[in-house]
Amino acid sequence: MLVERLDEKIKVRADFGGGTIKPLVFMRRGQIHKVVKVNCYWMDREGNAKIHYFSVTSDTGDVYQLHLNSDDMVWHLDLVMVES
Amino acid sequence: MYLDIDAFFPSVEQVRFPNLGGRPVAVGSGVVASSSYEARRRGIRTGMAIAQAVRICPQVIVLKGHQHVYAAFAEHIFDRCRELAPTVETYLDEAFCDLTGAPASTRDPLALGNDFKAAIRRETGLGVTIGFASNRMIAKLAAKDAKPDGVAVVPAGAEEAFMEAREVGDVAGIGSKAVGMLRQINVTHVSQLKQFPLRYLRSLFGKNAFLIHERLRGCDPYQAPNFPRSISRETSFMRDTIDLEEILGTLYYLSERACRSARALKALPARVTVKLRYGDGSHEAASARYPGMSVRDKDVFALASDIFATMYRRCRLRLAGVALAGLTFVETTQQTLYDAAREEKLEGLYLSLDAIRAKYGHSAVIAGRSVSLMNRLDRDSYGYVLRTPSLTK
Repeated sequence: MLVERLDEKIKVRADFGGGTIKPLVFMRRGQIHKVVKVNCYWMDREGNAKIHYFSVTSDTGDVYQLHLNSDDMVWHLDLVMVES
Repeated sequence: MYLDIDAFFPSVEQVRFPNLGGRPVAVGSGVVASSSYEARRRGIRTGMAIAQAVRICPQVIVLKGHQHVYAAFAEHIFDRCRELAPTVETYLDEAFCDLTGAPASTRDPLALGNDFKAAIRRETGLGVTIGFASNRMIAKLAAKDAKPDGVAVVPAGAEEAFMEAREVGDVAGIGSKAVGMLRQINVTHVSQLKQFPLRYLRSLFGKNAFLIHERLRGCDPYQAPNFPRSISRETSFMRDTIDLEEILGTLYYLSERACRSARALKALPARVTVKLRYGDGSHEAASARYPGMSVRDKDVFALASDIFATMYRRCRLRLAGVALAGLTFVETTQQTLYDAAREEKLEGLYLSLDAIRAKYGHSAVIAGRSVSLMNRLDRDSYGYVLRTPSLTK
């Protein structure tokens, strides 16, 4: 198992319906990754800003951690976990 | 109602990374802080050196741990508990909820527990074990029997019978030393120790004798204090060190964190304690009276560094800690007769620092000797990323 830290700003298409956030698709280095499962969600704070974290499994089977900063509404890709 | 999150740290990792599901996982740095049930089945235990854990189970996946992620998960679960009970006392991975007078108390506890457990599983993916009883100790012991992922109920009136067949070590307040001592006189179970009169228990347990006497009978008169007695902050170093800059920088940072928490609670300490653990595993602690009338990082650190100077053996240090003890609630700080203007300015300075850090995170301002840690430690919005940060209530 290999965890690679990325810390990249990314574009995410998400569903904000019903008071929840659900990432559906994200684009990394020009490649589109479809989210097939949201493994878990948790919320943290950076000072006053709410940070929404998601662990998602993409259509390639890799597990990614994304976060959305509620202050600037920018999505970040934190890390990817791949089976070594 | 007592709630315990099953194998907390590894369970969170297994939820975050589903590939870890069903595999032995240990979380810790240097020693195992927590391990998954799969790892426990292979002999890995909390407190075991990571190297030994890997020797016992080469397949174990060792993770360093992510304190803030665990705290976020725990807080979500504790928020759910607060919706259920008016009084909730929380620890790292467990909560005591007093359901007295709450609407939930009218429900069948077994059904309530199962529904609550299912809701937590649905929202967080984590398993919890829940125990219901008329007091804290019995609820916790009931949950211990039902672990993992279970619900247990001890009906009111059945507490004494529930305790009867248990080992003495199960009684809150009887530690491993006392268990060893009792074993020497062939006392291993509650039913045996219960026969001892209170005066005999006094010679064994001192001032806790009455509490133990009651607990042996299934009663637990203990009431958790609603104000902390002490606030402590400690961490082990990335590697054992004799570098005074690093040690004093860490002491400053820990003092600063403890002071910030104390100011938020309007707590004034009576004593400052410094705790050290050396590379050879030996440890010591010393304390001194805090003469200040308000909690200031600089004053607490000055006292902590004096204490440190008297006790430090100039050997490699593994861990350092600072505690503010004997806390009392103070609504307003007492003004000094001398140099009141300067005092007021200092008061304002710390209030402003706290406000900035509350808004932008602790890392927004690096102050005092902790500046020396800037090129030694990583930082996130919470402050420096310490190796094994821990706090006690």
